[in-house]
Formats: sequence, C-alpha cells, structure tokens
Amino acid sequence: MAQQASAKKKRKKDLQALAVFTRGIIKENSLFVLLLGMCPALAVTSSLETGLGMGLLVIFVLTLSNIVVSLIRKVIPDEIRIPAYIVVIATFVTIVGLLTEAFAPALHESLGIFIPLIVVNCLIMERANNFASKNNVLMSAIDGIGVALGFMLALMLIGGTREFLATGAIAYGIYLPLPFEGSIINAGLTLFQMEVFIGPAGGFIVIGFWLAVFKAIELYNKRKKKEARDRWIEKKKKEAAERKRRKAMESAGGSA
Amino acid sequence: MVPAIAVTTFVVILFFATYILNKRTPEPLEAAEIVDRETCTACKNYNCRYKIEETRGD
Amino acid sequence: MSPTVFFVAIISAMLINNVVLLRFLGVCPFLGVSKRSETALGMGGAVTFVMVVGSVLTYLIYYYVLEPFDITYISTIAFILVIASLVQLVEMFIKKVSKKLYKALGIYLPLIVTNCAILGVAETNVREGYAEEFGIMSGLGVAAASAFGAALGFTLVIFAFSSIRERLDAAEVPNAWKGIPISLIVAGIMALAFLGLEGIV
Repeated sequence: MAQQASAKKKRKKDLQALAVFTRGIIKENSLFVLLLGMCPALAVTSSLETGLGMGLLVIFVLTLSNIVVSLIRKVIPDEIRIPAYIVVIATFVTIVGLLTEAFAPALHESLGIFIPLIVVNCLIMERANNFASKNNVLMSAIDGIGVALGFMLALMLIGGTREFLATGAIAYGIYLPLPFEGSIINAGLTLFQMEVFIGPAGGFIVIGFWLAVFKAIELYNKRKKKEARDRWIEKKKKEAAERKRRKAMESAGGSA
Repeated sequence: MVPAIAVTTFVVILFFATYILNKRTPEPLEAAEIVDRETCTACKNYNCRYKIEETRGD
Repeated sequence: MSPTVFFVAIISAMLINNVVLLRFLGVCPFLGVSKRSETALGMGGAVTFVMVVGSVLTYLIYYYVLEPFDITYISTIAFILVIASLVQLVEMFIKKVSKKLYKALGIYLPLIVTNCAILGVAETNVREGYAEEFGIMSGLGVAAASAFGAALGFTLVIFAFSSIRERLDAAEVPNAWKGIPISLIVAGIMALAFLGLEGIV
C-alpha cells in the first residue's frame, strides 16, 4: 500500500518535472510569449548558426546560474538577494566568454559584445528571481534547460528565416567549430537575395512577423475553444429545456 | 591572479554596500505613488518586480 | 587633436551607429517604456547621465586598473558591478537631495541597471580602442563624447517612437499585429531610415 503511494508520488513528481521542462519551450516561450531577451534576439540572429551559438551559451549560463541560485537560496539574506544573483550570473558569463574565445573563436568574434551582455539579459535574472530562488536544485536545473532551450529554438527560427531570405540558403560550419561545413537548404535563389534581412531593419521586421504569426495562432485557438464551449453550453441549455418540458408535461398529465 | 581576486572582491563589496545603503534610504514621500505600473512593461517581469518589491516588499 | 574628433564621435554614435536601431542595445525600454513623451524624455535624461558617467568610470578602470595588472579578462564582472553601484549611488543621492529630481529621473534608475545599452556602450568604448588611437587621456574624451552621442541617439529614438506610438494606438491594426508586433515593424522601418544616414561623416 505504502509502496503504491510512493510510486504514485514519484510519477507525479516526474510529470511535474516534465511540465516544468516543456513549459519554457512553447507555452511560456521566453522570447515569443514573455518578450524577454529582445536585444540578443535582434542582434545575433543574422544566421541560423549564430542564433544556435548564442542559444547554447544561454543554456550554459542559465542552467548553471539557476543551480547555484537554488543552492544558495537558503543562505542568502533576503536583503541582498538581487545583487547576489547579479554576481553569480556575471561570474558564469565571464566563464562562458573565456570558453567561447578558446574553443569557438569565430563565434566569439561574431557575437562580439553580446557575450558580456548576457549578464543583463532579463531572461536569466527573471528565472533566478522567480523560479530558482523558490525551488530545489533539480527542478531549477530542469527549468533552466527548458527555458533556455525555448530561447535557443526561437533564436534559430529567427536566424534561419533571416539567413534564408537574405542569402537563399542556410549554411552550417562557419561559426561553430564543426568538422564539416555546407548548407542545409540551398534554394539557389541568387536573383532574389534580399540583403536587407541580414541588416538591422530585417531583424526587427522578421521578429515582428513571427510574433504576429504566433499571436494569430493563439487567437485562432482561443476562438475555437470559445466556439466549442458555446456549442456545449447551447447543447446543455437545450437538454435542460427539454427535461423541463417533459417534467411539466408529466406533472400536467399527473394532475389531469 | 591576486590582483584579479582583489579587484573582484572590491567591486562585489562595493556593489553590495551601495545596494544596501540605497535600499535603506527611504524614498521621498509621494514619490512612491508615481511609479506608474503602466510604464513598467519594459522587460515585462524582472525590471518592475525589482522596483515593486522594494516599494511593497515582494 | 582637434575638436572635430569629438563632434564626429557624437554624431557617429548618435545617428550612424544608433544604439537602439542599428546596434540593438536597449530595445526593451524602447518597446516597453515609451508610450508617453514625458516618460521617454525622463528615461532619456536618466540614461544620458548614467551612460556618460558609467562610460568614463569603466574606461578609467579598464586602462588604469585592469590593463596594468593584465587582468582584462574580468572586465565583464567589473563593469557590470561598477555600473550597478553607480546607479545605486545616484539613486540614493537624488533620493536625499531633491524630491523633484527623484520624481523626474529617479523612478527610471532601477530600470537602468539591466539596460543593456549602458553596459554595451561601456564595452564598445573599450573595444573600439580609442586609447590606442588617441592616447589614454584624449581617448577618455572621445569615449565620453561617444557615450554622450549614444545616449542622445537613444533619447531621440525613444522620443520619436513615443510620438509614433500615440498615432499607432489610434490606428486600426489587425488583432494579431496589435501591440509589440506592429511596433517592431515600425522600428524596422525607422532602422531603414537611419541606414540612409550612413556615410555622412
């Protein structure tokens, strides 16, 4: 009996962990839903690969900072919580910057000042303050990976769109230290390269476009749900009316 | 290595000290009301929470 | 060293390499805060002050502390903490000194700690190598000038955007595009316009 209960508890815990992990990827996507981390999303997404690289760095920093914040959450006095988080995050950003410089110099070059600027990415501070400071280490790590993965996928989507529109192809192996290089898609549209999309204006426009697309999907789902609910209410109303009528008839028949 | 540790320690202590000093300085009266929640939508959650938690205590 | 250097630094940081539209720094306040013109100007004033003082401080720290000891690898942590301390000090100071000033600027100061424009400009100033080009002391002037220009550019853009925003709120926009998406498109068009200024200096 007790075993069964504990197994149930464990399953519940697993489910909860899964929910924490997936929540950050789609439902609460940091970029497209919460609009956190706009600056890097605009600046480093001129190609799929730079977006991927930035995303990997953010996964590293966010997971580790979440773990450390969660570890020290009971030791740190409430008064100096926020400065302590800033110090923790800045430490990991410094580490990640040095590692990138050593192992992926091309990526380090192309991300430029946006590597130190991970420190001020609202996303990381927000997770430290709202999740890691209230949950245990394992959950915080899972949350960190999930949220950062969602951020990385968003960066890759934007980067891929911009690169494809600007060059007609999506290349790999240029910025990341991969042993091979080539291109995933090559439409060969040399006549239709829109270079504006690799520039600053293209960044704003592509993100605006994707935000509108996701908003439209959300609105559509909401409308469908509302329609279904309305239909259900209508049906229940009809049934209730029918029942009432039958009852009235029955009682009328009884009295007659 | 030693200067790096010294400088880091110095800036960390400086930041903690200024933060605590600032937090203990009361806001001028009336000023708390003008924190317009609507203007606080930048970086939706964090920035404003930082402000609000100081004025309201989480 | 002629005064034109400073002038060129200001113009180039303000218009040709605009922080918000072409360098993507400080996009959050740009999209979020700038609904009313006064708010935009208050934010701009606070950013201008902190950006100039912060850039000067971080420049001095880089060239007089980090460089001589050969510990430039801790520049990120040193810069962010110095800027954050500066913001705390400024906020405390104006809390004590002037209620009026606090009303006008103080409420934007906490927003500035995590504003990537401040740290971004400080980092850029060091990476541009003004010190190598003009010598450390003159380089400091150029760095301060370009920080001032960047802050002016930030103020200009968020002020212009707040005026556009007023019209935008009244315009008929499809539901899915309301709010941030259409603002981003507007920002994109503004960025295109600023691209046209390339090459004036």
